[in-house]
Amino acid sequence: MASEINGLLPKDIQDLVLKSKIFVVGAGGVGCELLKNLVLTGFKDIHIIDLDTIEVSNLNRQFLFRREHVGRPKSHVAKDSALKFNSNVNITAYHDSITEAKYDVNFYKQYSFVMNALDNRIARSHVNRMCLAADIPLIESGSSGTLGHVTVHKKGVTECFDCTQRPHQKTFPGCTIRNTPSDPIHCIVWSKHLFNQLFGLADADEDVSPDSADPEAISSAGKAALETESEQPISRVSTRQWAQGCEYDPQKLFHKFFNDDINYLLSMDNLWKKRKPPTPLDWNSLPDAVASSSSSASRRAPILLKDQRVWPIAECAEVFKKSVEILKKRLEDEKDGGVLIWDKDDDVAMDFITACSNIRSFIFGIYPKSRFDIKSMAGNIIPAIASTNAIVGGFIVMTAFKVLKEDWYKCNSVYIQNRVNVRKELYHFDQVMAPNPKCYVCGEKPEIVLKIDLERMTVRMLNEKVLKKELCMIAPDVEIEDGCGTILISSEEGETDDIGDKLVKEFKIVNGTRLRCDDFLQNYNLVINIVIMSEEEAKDRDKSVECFELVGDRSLLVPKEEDQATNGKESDKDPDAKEAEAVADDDDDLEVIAMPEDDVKVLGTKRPLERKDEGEGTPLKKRKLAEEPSPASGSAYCMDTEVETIDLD
Amino acid sequence: MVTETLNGVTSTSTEGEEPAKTFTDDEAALYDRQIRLWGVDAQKRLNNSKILIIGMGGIGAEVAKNIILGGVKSVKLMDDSAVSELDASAQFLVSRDAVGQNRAEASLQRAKLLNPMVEVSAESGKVEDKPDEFFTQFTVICVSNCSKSQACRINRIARQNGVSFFASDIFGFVSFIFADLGEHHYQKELTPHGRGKVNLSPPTVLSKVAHFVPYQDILNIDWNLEDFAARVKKTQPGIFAIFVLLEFVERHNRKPHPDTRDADLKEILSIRDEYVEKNGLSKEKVDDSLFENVCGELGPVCAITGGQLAQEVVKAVSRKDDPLVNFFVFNPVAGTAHVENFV
Repeated sequence: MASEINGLLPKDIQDLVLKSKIFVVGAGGVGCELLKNLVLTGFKDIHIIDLDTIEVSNLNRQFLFRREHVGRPKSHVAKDSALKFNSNVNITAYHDSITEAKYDVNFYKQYSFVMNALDNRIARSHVNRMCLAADIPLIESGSSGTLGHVTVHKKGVTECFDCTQRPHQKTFPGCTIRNTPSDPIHCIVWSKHLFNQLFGLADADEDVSPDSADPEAISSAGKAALETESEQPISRVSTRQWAQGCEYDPQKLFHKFFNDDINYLLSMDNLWKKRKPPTPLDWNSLPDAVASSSSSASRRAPILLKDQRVWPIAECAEVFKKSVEILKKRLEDEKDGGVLIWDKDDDVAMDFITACSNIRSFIFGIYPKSRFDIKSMAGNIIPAIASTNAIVGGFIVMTAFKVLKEDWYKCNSVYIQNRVNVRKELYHFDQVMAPNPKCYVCGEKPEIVLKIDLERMTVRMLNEKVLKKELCMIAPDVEIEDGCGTILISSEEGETDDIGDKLVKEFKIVNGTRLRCDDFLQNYNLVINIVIMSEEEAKDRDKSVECFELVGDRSLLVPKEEDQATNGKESDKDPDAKEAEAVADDDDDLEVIAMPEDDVKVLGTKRPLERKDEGEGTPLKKRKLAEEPSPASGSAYCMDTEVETIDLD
Repeated sequence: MVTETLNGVTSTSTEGEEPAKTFTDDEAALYDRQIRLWGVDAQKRLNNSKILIIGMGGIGAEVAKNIILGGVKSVKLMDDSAVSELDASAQFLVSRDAVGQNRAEASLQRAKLLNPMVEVSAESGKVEDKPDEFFTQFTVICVSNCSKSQACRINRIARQNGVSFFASDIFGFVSFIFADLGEHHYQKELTPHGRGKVNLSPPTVLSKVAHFVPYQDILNIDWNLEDFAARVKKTQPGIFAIFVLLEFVERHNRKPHPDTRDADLKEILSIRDEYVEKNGLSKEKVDDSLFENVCGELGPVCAITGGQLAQEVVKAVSRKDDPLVNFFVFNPVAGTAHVENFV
């Protein structure tokens, strides 16, 4: 162990390493590498927590685990394996969720510093808040493919994890998903919604039936469609009830979703004036071909992987039938009205999605995808590999040395790029930024502006979608600042359940209402300033699936409300982002990281220039627009690597 | 090897390669994530490659781990030295009670457990005792903890036989990677600009060629020569420090050791003085501070260097993406990670 060998580490670091007690959050890809490095470096008291158990697809990189460990808790096996590198270390393993209440501020205070080796934003953000509350330094990291990032967060000195608003997971407009898909991802998203409607937790925002309120359809002649809507059973009975009514008969389900609904869409003829109209399918005369394909070339390549074969439509229908039958049985076996949870690693669920999305693609003349590709897209798999994780795990320890010495001046944000940038760097070291004074988490009096559609926002949506999913709270209490202290949401189980389905407008929430949110566990208080969406905006918003928008900090509202408000919408409308929709899946491979290009983008759009001169005297990078485009950023960089051809002699 | 580009969809045929075999369900499950990253073709090439790792120190252990996890056909671990107490800081493949045993053989058991689908073997013989033919059976050779003369000899054999060659080492906190892939033909997918754009057409694939120079040419650079003297100013000092440290190894047949830290440092600085004198460099350029932490092998730096080297091996084998051309010097204390390009 390096700390036990005099002359290897500088003396001051050696002493600090020997006496520190440290906490690793996550025993996955980065966690395994990190734990090995920490033990080799000679840290003596290491605590590690992970909620997960080991899966086969982990084994290509999480090298502390082997096949015989599959199914066992990651943290326990990681501990046992790492002890073989040096048995003279204390490793304490927790098989638990980091968001549990027992890991409170006092728990964090026992450590010299904390290292995140996590894969999702909510947990990262939670640990960030706990470290802020306990005033313990946090080393944050992430890896994705051959890219990686390591940085430091220290209360009052550097920015915190939430200082930079990360690009939100984008969603597709509801009508694209329901009425006019044009890309395989639209059909995949629709199929995941269908799964939830039939077998999972049905979400009103995930309707799969034709959307007759599509503004494009109504514009002129679509009136007829609107009128016939009342005759459609779909709008009155939920998809689940309907499916139960016909006992999940695969043929009937097929007929409804791939024939009746398609015919209904065809009746909204405005939609098809400039588009190729869909072709309804008949169960009894299915085409034998692989769906209309623009990528015939891809089939020329030899197929080395079973899942890479694209199924013909008849086979899709067969798989649809089989998977519906199995899923129906599973749903019946659930006790107490339980539902199925979609999981990319569940073969039947994956079969169902593959079949449904390719059938739907065929109907709309979209090229089909293999099960392999659909799994990537539906599961939002960001592939992770051992070597990148090894590099990230190494940089975390190098950063830890600076943290131990409290050398905040020397702390860097490290970007691992897997290619050489214009400065001839393989890794880019950037200064860590000073805190964002207007951060909605570490700012002095955190406030945020939330724009809502009064006609759609319920108390439950506010709690689940805004507070928990977007703002990463774990157990929020919300009180309306109305003089009487009306409680809107309580973290006590059951206390405010009965009002969950009510619209927030029933609680006299108007433009300018202030909501006091308090997450006791995170020691986090936030004031939400409510802004009501104008009718026009709300109508516009209707195209999208969300009925709210986080506008950012309060100051953004003052100068030009309209402009600021539309900023976010532009990107929402962007039909981009293959990686949409999958936030809910806590995939262990979803290791979201902000590369420099993100930073520049975020800086440019979200951080007002006026902050340029604030924070004078802080040793760290001022919060302003990057002085120069980062060499690793944006399109300039991409172009550069192309221009910079390799020297040929 | 023939490479053709057709409407952006590339089909590649390689002579002498085993016929394409379908992946078993086991392989598909195990390599699922990386196939999603670098594609089936690359995985197939990896599965057919044979890797020789010479020098089983910290970097050797890291490269072995990453490459075995990645799923190559075979990996041979080669080292004629014995496990020492010092290995405890970076060599995690040997057990702590294996001190005195051969380092390659002592690494074998844990290396094999990483991935039962890869053939892993050990070789305890000396590099200088092996005939040239020994080295020609591999796809890639990674050399560390090796004398300059033997490294150059292996590099020469590798060049003549189309074997990819890497030299790499670590001195305390600093490390380097040298790459010689000969005349390297590879492909690069161009991802369209604009993040997250839904892209309906297959990505454009570029066919590229990179030419490399032998290790010897770089080790013997005379910085007085016009071409080199002109680039001294723009060259990160780390690379000069590496040349000095390699010279220390050549003279003492070992790396700087923590136990003899002060004496070794003195010797290093005197070699430095000689080196700057001979090459017309200034002492300020190759400052004392570059040699502050150069004893032993630091685990995290081995992890970074071995991780990078494994990545380069994958690129070399899969013939995908821009390779490292051709000398990478890493100094995390100074916060530098530069690639010097010698042609």
